[in-house]
Amino acid sequence: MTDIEESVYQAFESALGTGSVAGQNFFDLGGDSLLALEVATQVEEGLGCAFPLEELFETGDIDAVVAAVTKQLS
Amino acid sequence: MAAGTGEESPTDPGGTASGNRLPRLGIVVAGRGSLTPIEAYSALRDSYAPVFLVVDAAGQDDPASAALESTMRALARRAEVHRVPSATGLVDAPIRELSGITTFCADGVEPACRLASEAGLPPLAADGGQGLYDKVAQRAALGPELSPRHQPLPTPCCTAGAGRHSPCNRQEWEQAAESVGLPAVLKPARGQASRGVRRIADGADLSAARHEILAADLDPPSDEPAWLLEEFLAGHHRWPRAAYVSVESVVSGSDIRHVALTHKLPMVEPFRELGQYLLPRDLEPAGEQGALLDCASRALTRLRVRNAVTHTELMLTPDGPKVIEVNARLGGLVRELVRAGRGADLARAAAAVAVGNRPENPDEPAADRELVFQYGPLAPVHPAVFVAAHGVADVLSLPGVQRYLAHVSAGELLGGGSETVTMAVVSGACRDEEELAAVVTGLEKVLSYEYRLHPDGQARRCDARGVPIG
Repeated sequence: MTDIEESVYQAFESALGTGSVAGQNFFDLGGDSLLALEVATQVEEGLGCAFPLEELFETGDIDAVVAAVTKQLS
Repeated sequence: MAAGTGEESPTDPGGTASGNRLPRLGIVVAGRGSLTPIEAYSALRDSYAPVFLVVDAAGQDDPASAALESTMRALARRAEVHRVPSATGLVDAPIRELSGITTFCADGVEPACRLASEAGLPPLAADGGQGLYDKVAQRAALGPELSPRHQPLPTPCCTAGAGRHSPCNRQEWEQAAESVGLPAVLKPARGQASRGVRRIADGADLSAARHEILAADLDPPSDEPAWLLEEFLAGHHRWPRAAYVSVESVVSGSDIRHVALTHKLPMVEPFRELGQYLLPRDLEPAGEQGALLDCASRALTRLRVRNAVTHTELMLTPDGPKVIEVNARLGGLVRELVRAGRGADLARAAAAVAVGNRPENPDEPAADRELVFQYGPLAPVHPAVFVAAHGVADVLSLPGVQRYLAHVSAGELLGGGSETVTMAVVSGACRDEEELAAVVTGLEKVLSYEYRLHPDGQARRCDARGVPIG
């Protein structure tokens, strides 16, 4: 796992208050729009990139969002 | 969100890293909406600088208001957030330099109309828009051809004998029932999501409704009609298709474009919505579709709608379609449905027309050859605390079901009542209505919800329609 991936997963884990979110759906873990904004803020402020908030709302797919952020920064 | 000045300063108000200024779009927030403020921000932030105008709900100390407060505090770090007094003083709101105003909340339509008018922004309707938020004015504008028989009513001031605020108006209510005919539907002149709507079958129901309204003391005494009694529009549903539909339209100036005809699952008593779907275009009966879209066009024209996304509910009666109501905002869950079935993003369309632009044309949707659906399991009508959902994995294994998205968390208090409150949304796609009927039957067999009744804590299990089991 790269530093970027780790950082984004950590933002999800911190907002959701749970460990190992890889492979999971954000909404199945209790995520809502407020928590999504919290993750987005952490990632955007920490990594200086645009967080794909719309993609998260549309699919809830945490891995896909991590991949999108990684792609943007690579 | 700060109280005093009512303003927060985001780190980058309306700016972008490149320094380009985005159009400042006022988004009126007033209670529950078809998009949460964060979803609206997310949908629009790449093309607009959202300026949230939060209508004060003075004295409301409920969980929903507290949640909205947290949301707006979080958003204030990223976008402008301002409080707007609900009744007066809109002129003091920070509406200068806005490019347009929109809302995704039913209760936001009136302030949006007023703010647009005061600021000289593209209006939601050419005449100020009273017909968009006041059902009595809407019926008057639509006229008898498009409306059911109806009669505006004042707030009941007594059940019999002397009145509290004014002379007794019981007789006025009884005369209205006689003129409209029973069964009828009693609805607040302003309101949303079937809040406060009652079916009036006979004189006893009418009397009971008057007592309930008086006991709840909902309305301050006023000369304005607060209630509307309407002919009950009976339609025959053909399972799984209800006898009513909604038409989702984008109005840009005098141009009306109907984006989708949304079919509904039959309602749960009294008027609770259970689900909706879009048919593949080739399965839509052309003649019936034409009559419905024509009815929606005439309604929007008579209401002089100008720059808005609209959600027009129509009942199919033996005499042709009649307007249930026209909403000058996106319908609940309609954005997701229309994106899946037609490829258009109605949230972005609402923003575009609010600033006076024509919305982009949608790409050709991949799912146009499929029926796309949403099913919303209902909360119970009695106040209850949600404990757990059962059968979700079984629902997800049904053919056609793609997603189960919970709307309520364990421990959340649900207020009860006749309003449509969904526990989740189950969405997916299938070939036709026969397959949809099988999906609905299948999911209703396996899905149930566990609650504790409020306030006594008694355990209660309900089915997906919110009906107690056992």
